[in-house]
Amino acid sequence: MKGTYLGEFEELVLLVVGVLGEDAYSVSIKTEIEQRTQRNPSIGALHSSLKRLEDKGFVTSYAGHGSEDRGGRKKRLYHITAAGKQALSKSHELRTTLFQLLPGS
Amino acid sequence: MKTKLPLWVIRLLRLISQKEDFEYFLGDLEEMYQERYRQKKGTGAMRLFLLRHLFSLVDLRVILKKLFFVGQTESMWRFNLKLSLRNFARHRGYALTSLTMLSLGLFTVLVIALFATYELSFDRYHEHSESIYRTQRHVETGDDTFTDAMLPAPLAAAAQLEIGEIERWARLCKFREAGIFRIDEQTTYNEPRYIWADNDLLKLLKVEVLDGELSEALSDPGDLVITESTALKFFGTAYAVNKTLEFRTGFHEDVTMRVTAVIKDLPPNTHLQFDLINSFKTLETAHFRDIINNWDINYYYHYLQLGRHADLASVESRLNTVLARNVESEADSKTTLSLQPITDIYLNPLGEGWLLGPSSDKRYLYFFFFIAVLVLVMSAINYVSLATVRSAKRAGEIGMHKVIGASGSQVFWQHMTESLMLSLLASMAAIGLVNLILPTINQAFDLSINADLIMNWEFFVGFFAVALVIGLLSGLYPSIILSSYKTTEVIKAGRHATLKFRGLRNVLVLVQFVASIIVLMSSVLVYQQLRYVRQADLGFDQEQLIIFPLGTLETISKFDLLKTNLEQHSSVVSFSAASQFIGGNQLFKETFELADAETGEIKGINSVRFGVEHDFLRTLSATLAAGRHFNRQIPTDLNEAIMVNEAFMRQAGLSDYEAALGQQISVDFNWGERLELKLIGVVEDFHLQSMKSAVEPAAFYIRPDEYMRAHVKINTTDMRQALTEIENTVKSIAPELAFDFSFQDDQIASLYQMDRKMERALYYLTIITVLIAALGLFSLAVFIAQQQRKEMGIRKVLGASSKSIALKFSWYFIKLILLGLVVAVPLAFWLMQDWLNGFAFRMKIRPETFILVSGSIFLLVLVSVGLQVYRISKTNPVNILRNQ
Repeated sequence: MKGTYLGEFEELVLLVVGVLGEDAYSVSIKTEIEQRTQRNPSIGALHSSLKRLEDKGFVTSYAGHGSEDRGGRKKRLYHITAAGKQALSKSHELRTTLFQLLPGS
Repeated sequence: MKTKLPLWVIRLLRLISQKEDFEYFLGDLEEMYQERYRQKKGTGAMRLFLLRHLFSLVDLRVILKKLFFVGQTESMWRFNLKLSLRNFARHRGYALTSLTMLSLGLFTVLVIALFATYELSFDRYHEHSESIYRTQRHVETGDDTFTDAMLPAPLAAAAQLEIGEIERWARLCKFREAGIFRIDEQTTYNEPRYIWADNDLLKLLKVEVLDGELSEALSDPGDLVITESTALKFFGTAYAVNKTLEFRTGFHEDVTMRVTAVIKDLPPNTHLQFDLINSFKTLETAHFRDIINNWDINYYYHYLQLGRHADLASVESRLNTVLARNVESEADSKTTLSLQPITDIYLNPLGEGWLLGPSSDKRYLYFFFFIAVLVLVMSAINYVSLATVRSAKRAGEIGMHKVIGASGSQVFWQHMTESLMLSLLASMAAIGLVNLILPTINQAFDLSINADLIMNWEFFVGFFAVALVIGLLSGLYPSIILSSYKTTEVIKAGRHATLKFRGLRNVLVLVQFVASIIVLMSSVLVYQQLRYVRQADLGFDQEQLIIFPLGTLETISKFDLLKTNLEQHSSVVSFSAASQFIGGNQLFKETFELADAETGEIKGINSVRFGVEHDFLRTLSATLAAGRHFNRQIPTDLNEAIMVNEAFMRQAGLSDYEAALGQQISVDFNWGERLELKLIGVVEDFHLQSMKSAVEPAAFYIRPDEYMRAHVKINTTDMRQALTEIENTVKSIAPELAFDFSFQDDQIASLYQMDRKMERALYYLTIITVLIAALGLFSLAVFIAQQQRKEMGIRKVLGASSKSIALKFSWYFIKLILLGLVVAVPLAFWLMQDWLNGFAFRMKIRPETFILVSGSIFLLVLVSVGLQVYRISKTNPVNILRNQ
């Protein structure tokens, strides 16, 4: 399959989408990343990552209702797919395996 | 607390985002904005925050898509293409005419662009071409000023010692005569393309080595570097390193040269052409005098390379200081040095005779550029006026589109598509045509433009960009007009539409007339000037005059024997010799001194000098203005007589020739002694070089050791017979000479090679331009006439004659062409006056030329338009009116 590679930032976003569950959309993901890491990603970077994740089949999106804060505008909600979860655990496995091979640990 | 997102954010966002994303993006921004507002951030920080996120949302692909599909979807775009193709197919004549005109125009522009690229490519291939310079010398003596590149040889070492910015410095010397190289007893070659140079020249220029090592190739006396083809000619192999041959200097004993390296033949686009390089060191040993360490001999070209951060002005000023310290300047003359970039040399060449290879003139480049722009404008205008005229016919079609529901922008883009497609097709046709014709062009104009020059993507992108811009510009107006039609109006009566832009069409046709008249006029004038220069009377008889170099002193010593024997042939009128050829390379100059008749003050005249044999001026059939020719019967003529030309007399301020006869004139002789001569005759001015330069002062006196160039005047109808006789005689008396003759008129003609090329180029360009203009005019006439068929029909029914109708409808064009002439003629006159100012000898612009050109343009218009209209007006009005 073409382009299933996960970039570092993409992996982070995918993880957060999984963590947030039902309420994963651009701004909430951004807030979560800001709180967990010291990063401050731009909204555009998030949108393009999400778009790429969706193209790879790791997340699905659907339109959600707007809140008052959004001036009543719709938001695009994201949900992690089975393929997304698999990609995450694969990447996690790889890291753990490699970490265990690290001398002196 | 709530606040509102600023309006500019919403606008910008709409501009950069796709429709589907816009709401989501706006929602995100709004939410984040509100959050920040609650945190009570300052306005500056808020603005920065908004900008950052807005900027992050920019997607180049989206922007590009938006640019190309203003109010369009992809399927619409496809639809436009299809519709355009169908339209082309339906109106084949129209599409073909537009296509032909556009491709002809683009073809012309492409060819000119290619030519210009070639001209500008000279000497740009050297590795450090932007930091290589040649020194130039500007000399002011009284009212005489000239520029050349001749400098003393020791300057190199002296300057390098003081000016640290100079990284490399190479001296170069080129003698007037061909070098004589003897391979063995039987084989001798005359090689005109040989130079002497320092070893660093091979590092300054880009040369590719085939055999041997370049680093030390010219560092010892007797070192010789030759090109591949010379090696093949001399030795039959390109691997000629360590082969030896004899170099015959003519004034010194022969020098044995050893080939140290063989290089590839030079590319054509360099001003510095050579086949053989003798090492500069050889000059020190192979000349009968020390000409190298002498600050008084200005005979060497200097090429140098500056360091990357060198300041040109500062280097120049220090160069001048070095020169001034070493050369005693004469009271009334001032010499300044400057550095000329190597890439400028080809287009700003030195005076005739001092060139080291091909040269051109930037005036031609400007002129061609000017024509290219005009041609481009003309073909664009042709398209616009055709499209607008035809729009009347299409009014119904557009109305129908609109009734079905097309918006203005859709109609606009549909017509834009047509024009863009046409220009793209035309540019492809033009590129195809150029590739097809390039070999012919190269052959016809003796150029070596490589198709590779355009086969790179920069050129393609540039060219298609030009084509697109032309398409856009020429499509803009018709598209706007057509899309602005009111549906009801065009459905009801198509004719209203054309009336709307008759004004603009008039202006366009006028501009086109003006452009084509200017192109035609200036081409004719340039053509006339070139012919004038080439065919003007040179002041001496160049017909049936054979010239050949006598080579070495050995042959020169046999001159008298040659003369007696040759003049016995009935075909030979006279045989003589001089130190240089007319129109040859490097006319030698000398300062002649004479006392002023009234004040007795000594005056120096810088004049070309000819060491001649008694009969030289008679052999040239030069006309005496006063006094007498040299005479063998008068023994004092040998050492005490001098003849000068009228330019010399003018420079000396002597207007009364008869009174001036007997005047003492002295000149430097044999390096330091002086020769005292008496003026015995004045000849009328004749051209020593091409007509491009003015006649310089010239002096002639007898110098038997300088009979280096033989001149044979013949009078025969059987040229072959005469040549065989001459050759046999010369060979029997001087077997050591490589007899290599040419004709004086060929020699002169070779000075005009470039001009003749230009003449021919202009000829073709003019034809193409006129063709484009005529095609546009003709099709315009056809369309207008067809539009007004009904009117013609009615007029005819009411009793008008075909002739009067034709005249009435031609009147529109006649008015325009008259107006065009009024505008164009003064403009062309002014432009050409300016252009002609660059020539030493320029023709007068004759009013007949203008009248003739104007008249023929007028006639052309009248015939092409009149015939068209007449043809329609002849048709039976019933056939026209029945259709309505």
